[in-house]
Amino acid sequence: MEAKKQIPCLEGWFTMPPQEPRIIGNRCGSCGNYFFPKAATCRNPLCQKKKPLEEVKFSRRGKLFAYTVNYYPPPPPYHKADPFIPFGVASVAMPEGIKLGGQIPTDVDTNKLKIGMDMEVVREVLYVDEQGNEVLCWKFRPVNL
Amino acid sequence: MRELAIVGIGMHPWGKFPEKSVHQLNLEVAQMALKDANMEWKEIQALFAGQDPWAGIQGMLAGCALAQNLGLSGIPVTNNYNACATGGYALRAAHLYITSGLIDTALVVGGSVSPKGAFGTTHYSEFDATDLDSQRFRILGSANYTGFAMAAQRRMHEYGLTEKDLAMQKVKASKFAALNPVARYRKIYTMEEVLNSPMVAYPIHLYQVCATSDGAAAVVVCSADKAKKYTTKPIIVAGIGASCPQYPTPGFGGFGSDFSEVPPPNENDAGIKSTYLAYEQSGIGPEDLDLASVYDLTGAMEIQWYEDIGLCKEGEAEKLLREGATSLGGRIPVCTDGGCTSLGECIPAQALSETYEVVVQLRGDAGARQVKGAKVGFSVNSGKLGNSSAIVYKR
Repeated sequence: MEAKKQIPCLEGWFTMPPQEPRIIGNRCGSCGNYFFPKAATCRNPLCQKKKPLEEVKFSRRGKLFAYTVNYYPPPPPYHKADPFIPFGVASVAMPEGIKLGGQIPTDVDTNKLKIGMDMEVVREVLYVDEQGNEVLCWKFRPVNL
Repeated sequence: MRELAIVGIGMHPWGKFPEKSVHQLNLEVAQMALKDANMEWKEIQALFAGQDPWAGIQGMLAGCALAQNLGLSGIPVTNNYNACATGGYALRAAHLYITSGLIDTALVVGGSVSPKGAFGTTHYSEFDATDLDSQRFRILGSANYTGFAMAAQRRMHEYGLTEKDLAMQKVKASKFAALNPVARYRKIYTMEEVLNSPMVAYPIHLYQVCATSDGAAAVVVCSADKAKKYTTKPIIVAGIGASCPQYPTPGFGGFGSDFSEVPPPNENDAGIKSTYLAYEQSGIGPEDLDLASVYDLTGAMEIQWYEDIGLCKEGEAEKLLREGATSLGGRIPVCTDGGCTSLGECIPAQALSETYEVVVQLRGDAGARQVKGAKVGFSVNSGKLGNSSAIVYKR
């Protein structure tokens, strides 16, 4: 039996195994602002744009800025698990100065989530596609739960 | 510069009308507004129509389809889509055409036949990294109410908003809607019913999720000096503003297509800018308003708007709600038609539904939900990618 292949949900948006989980964006060489997803050009209207954008890996950890728990599956193309398990969605304030979003793994007790808690980038299977590939994605897991 | 007067209005009830197309809805409200204005279609010199993203190419050309139905008269037709601010941008364009003296009369329309269930995306892709709206569903699991819930969480965290406050907003909205013939949900809710309904995305319960509705609304506008020919009750657009956000853009860190349409508290710069542009142009401030229609996609957003439009200081919006100031009979009623909460959302037409309600109120035609002696009104909206528009109206 063939081993399941792991593919990224989107190429180049985050690191794949065996690298440690990190989200990939870019940063303006001129004004220093960070972007995710990667910007085609610096989005700061005041930027002099004297230097190009550079690819960067965001920090592994940030602080939980806001979250909710979805008790109903969102519409497609969200891939609904069968059975559906309510899951948290996080907005995390990164040290780089911007907020990043991501799902929270379903084994996390969402009653224990608190704004301000430390969150860490992890990787999980988002869904299994029709070819049997495991489609991976980043998620945010509380560090201390 | 000349002033703009609203001389005719028309609105289809909000709800679900599977037997009708958006073009049929647009035609009905256009005819209602023209009749209300005692104006014939052939007198209209320009048409501004919101596009319906759910109706294919014909929906993108909704104004042109309407002109065909009303009778091709050779006038210019502008079709626009500015998310939740669509109607406001359409009215703003008409405002500029007329106040500049280019033309004297215009018709402004918006309508949509929305998809069933929660707003998904119009067509979706799995691996297209440029299709950010698809990816926010696929990767983040973020429906529109996901962002709304996060905004509520921030107000809970920063200002002590409670689930009870959110239920109070729903109950208040339902009391207005019960008195509004075009509202979709007209049942008066109790706090218990709201709080006992299933949780959708914490802290938003099922009865607090904004539905998606079909609907359409239209206004006939003309230069104020000609208004008396058409109506005894012209309502003046005293100020109108539109804006998109300024960098660094607000939001919760979605992909620029979802979370960022819901600003966290203190980050609604587009909505605030539109508001103050309208206030400045009109010379009218929040203390002068008799009523306001704000974009209440969720209870926490309505409450946030109280601060953003200057009805109270930062952090005091919950108090305003709790003391009944914005309720029926309060000193500054907000969302007197029941709001998005009770109408559901019909994106291309929603801004015009706000306009319709303010005009009805300022004309003194609001029946049991009438704000007594209303002379000055306000409407504001904000949505995807930070589209926002605001209008000050006066009798």
